[in-house]
Amino acid sequence: MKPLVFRAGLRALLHHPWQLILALFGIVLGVAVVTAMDLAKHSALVSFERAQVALFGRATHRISAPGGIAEDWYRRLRRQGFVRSRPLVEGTVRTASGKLLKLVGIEPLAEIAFAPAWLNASREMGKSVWRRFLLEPGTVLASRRTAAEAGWQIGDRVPIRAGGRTRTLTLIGFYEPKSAKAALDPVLIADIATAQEILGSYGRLQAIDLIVEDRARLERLRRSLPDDMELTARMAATASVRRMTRAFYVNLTALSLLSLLVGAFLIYNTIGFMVVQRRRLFAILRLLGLTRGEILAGVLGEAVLLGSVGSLLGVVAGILLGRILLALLARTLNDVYFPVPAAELDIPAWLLLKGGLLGLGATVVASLVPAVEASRTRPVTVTARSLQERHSRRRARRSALAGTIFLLGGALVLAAGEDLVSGFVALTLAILGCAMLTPAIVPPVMAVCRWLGFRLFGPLGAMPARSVTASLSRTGIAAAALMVAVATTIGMASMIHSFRDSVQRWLTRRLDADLYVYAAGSGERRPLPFALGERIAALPQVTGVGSVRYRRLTTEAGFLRINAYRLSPAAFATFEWVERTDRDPWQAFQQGGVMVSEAFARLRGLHAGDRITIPTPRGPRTFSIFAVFVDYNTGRGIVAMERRVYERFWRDDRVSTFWIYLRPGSDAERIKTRLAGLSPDIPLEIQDNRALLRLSMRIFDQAFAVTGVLRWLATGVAFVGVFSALLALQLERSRELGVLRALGLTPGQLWGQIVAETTLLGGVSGLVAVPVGMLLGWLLSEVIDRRAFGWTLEFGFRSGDLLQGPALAVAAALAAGLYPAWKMARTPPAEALRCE
Amino acid sequence: MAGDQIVRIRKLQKSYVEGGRHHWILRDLDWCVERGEFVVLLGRSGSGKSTLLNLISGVDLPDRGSVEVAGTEIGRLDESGRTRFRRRHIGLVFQQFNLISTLTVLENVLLPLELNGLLNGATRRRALDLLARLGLAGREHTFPDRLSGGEQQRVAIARALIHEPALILADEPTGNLDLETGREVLALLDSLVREHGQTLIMATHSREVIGLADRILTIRQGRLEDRPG
Ligand SMILES: Nc1ncnc2c1ncn2[C@@H]1O[C@H](COP(=O)(O)OP(=O)(O)O)[C@@H](O)[C@H]1O
Ligand SMILES: [Mg+2]
Repeated sequence: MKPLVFRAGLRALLHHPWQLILALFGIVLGVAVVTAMDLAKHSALVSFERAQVALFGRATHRISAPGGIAEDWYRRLRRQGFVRSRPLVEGTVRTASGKLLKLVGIEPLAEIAFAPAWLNASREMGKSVWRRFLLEPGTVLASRRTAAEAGWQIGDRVPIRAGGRTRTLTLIGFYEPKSAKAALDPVLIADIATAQEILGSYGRLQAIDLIVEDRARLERLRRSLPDDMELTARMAATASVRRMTRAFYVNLTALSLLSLLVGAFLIYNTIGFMVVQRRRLFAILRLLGLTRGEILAGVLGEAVLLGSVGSLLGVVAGILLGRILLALLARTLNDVYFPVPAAELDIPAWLLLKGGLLGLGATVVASLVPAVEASRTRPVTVTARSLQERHSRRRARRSALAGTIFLLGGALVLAAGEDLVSGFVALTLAILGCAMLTPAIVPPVMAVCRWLGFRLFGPLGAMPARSVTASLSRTGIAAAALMVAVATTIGMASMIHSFRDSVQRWLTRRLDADLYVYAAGSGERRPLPFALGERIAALPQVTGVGSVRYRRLTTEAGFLRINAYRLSPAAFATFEWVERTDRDPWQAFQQGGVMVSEAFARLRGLHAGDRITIPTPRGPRTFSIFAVFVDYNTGRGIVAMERRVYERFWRDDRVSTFWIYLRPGSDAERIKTRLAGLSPDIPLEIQDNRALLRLSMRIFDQAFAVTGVLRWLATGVAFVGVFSALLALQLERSRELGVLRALGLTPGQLWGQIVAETTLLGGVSGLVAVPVGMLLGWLLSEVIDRRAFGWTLEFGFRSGDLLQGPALAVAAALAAGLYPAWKMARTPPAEALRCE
Repeated sequence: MAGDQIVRIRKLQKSYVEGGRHHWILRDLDWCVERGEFVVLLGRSGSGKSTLLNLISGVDLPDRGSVEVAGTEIGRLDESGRTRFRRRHIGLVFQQFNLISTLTVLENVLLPLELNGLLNGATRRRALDLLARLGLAGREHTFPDRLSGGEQQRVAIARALIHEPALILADEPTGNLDLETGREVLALLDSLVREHGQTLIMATHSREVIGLADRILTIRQGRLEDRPG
């Protein structure tokens, strides 16, 4: 780029610094959202992995069972020669102030072979502490942060609550050096006997970790374990967490990329404006001998400069935003997927680079069309504006044609593939296509407004609409950018809300019983004896009992869950089918058929009528699938069967959850007390269906907290987009407005003109955004929910979400009209006429 | 002698399509301009003067016929080639001055040097000298919108001449100036062009220039007539 030419262009841009600032804002926000989301997702996984290492050290395998393992197993394994093994007890406890902590019980000497990070670190605390920890019962170690937050000092006697009882422990030291990352937070470490006592699990372990390299030995061990005990490789934990969160992460990625796309439209709008504003400059430069290529390179050069500055700032903002998103994300992951210990933002350079390059790339791509347009500027002495505008009408029609082709292309791509990538491609094509269609919609709508305005207010009333059409080269770009921004927020809101509504409807339908009973505690719950069901059924007021046993299986194809039901035909009727065979479902269910969840069917490419082979303790067995049922559980898919069928292969007499139907008008509180009395050894959690629904929806809402934040960020970008597009438009017209002032329009009338114009443009974009937003919402749900999670939603719209679009556009339009109106009304007409 | 002809035009045709009908501006125009000549093109507004100049500078292309400037046939060059040819060999002066408002007076004049890769200390001094000769000493760092019309046109002349193009095309350079100022600007342009033996083709409808020109032609109904209208 030639310095003088560059200087000429740059000075022209600096005449409108606010415009540059708004363009920068678009890039910064887009890049910040993408970078922040990436950092948060990455950090959550990293901190999970770190916690694994911190806790497991060199463990290669873990033996676990849903209800825990009898302590004998540990001794038996050691006798069998698995000397590098360690027992583990885990549970959740509360501090006096009610804060939840994880309590881990360990066998200090067994830990040495595993060299977990916490043990290495705790060496720093000195021999005397270590000796006390080994020898003195009731001692506990904590992280500095946990202690600081709880207000504990070394030597304090700290009260800990679990299972309704309080125990006092002595804090004797910290398990981490001052500098360590708090990967284990918030965890208390005690010896195994202490932990068992506190958690009320005498003689039981949560898991046994092993270091075993010999595969043959592992295989022998695996075979010798009873059905309900599972041997998993530790690396599998990380891998499975990655698999589990894939769909959830895809959803977040999609939404953050959408924010970037909205940002890109902001950039497109601004660069487009910067080109239109400098048409005269480009024409003169072409006359003086600047080639098309040189102009193209010049405009792209500006975009690269703008994109670099914006992306750089965006990455910095992304790091700040990332901390906030991570906190939200960690909460979601904790509730739904896996424990994320006190997550700290991990900031790898490559993610920053990725965010920066994405921003730069988006800027350059968004500038391509305006840059090409700039390079096409004809050197023939600066053409009249009206001629340009005639061109712009033709361009609008051509762009509408291209938009239609994009839309058709999007539809084809969507129909052609079932995978995620084609879904995203279709989504992008749809957005671009609709954006390209928008400028062509402006003139006819404005024609109507002109007529209306004339009818209502006379010639002055027709002017705003006329001037929107008259400067279509600018207003067209603005309308497109505006429309995309608003439609995106409508689409996001519709997707999230349809999802929520579907889940709520589903839960309300499925939770048809009055009370739900399961073992108290968190995490993998202990199962209850099946026989408890008979005792419950015998209670007065109880009219029916159903039960389900959840079993998690690890197969070569990944996790799957078995749900073994015992239920009444009425309860069975609460299942909804995605597809089913001709057989009567109830009969098929009773006769040994299985039904699979939609997500599972989609993942494995299964349909009603297919057969599925499942590993059982009695070898692999094949079942026929009689139906695919609607299910919005996250992660692994579900294979559901009748309890009798399950018992035949698994020989398991346990139940995960009972549900209870009561006679109408029963006293649920009294029955709850009676129920608690039925299970003296395992404390029960009893929820009525409404409480359970509330609980489930709360978990859902937490899971979507991050998504909600993303939606608001996109809305923010959209608002700025609308605002800047309209502001640019008006400030651009100072001269024209000066003429109007000179012709005798009062400041008030001028104000009316400007605000009417921005509102018209904002309104038309906001209105077009409604159907486009609905389309985007549907596509998002198709891509994210169906293709990533494997759920089909009952897609619907809330009028609030739809109205929010035009409201947003008009609000931004009004705001954008205020400043130029104020400025023009204050400028003497002569001044406005002079400036060019 | 053919070598002394800087512009050679053969069978030039140009029309615009308007409302589906061909509207002929130039038809079968043949014309040559000798090196070092000062030619004035007369003609009423709308007669095709600007069109002809645009065809010579390669800004526009003819329907038929050829334009050769300094031995190069413009129509044979591609868009980029024409642009590069124009910036090296042709200086342009317009009625609306067409200065770049975001560049200072000096920067406007340096621009053609930069485009041709000729910008250095010596040419920079030459630009300052030229501006001084045009009576703009002390205004070098002013922006064009602070100048009067006559001053702006003098800057435009400096910009058209600074890289010493062989051919200068001036399209109604005095059209936006009052009589007295116009006369001054013409005199300056004339003397500078003659000093360097450059060729000047000037379109105008004012008869002020007649005394200065070597040759006067008139465009009438798409043809050139070799005498003042
Ligand atoms: N781009 C164009 N499209 C259609 N007609 C044009 C165009 N440019 C010039 N004309 C027409 O060509 C004729 C000659 O124009 P021009 O060369 O500018 O005349 P002059 O410079 O002698 O006043 C005019 O009638 C004008 O309307
Ligand atoms: Mg003309």
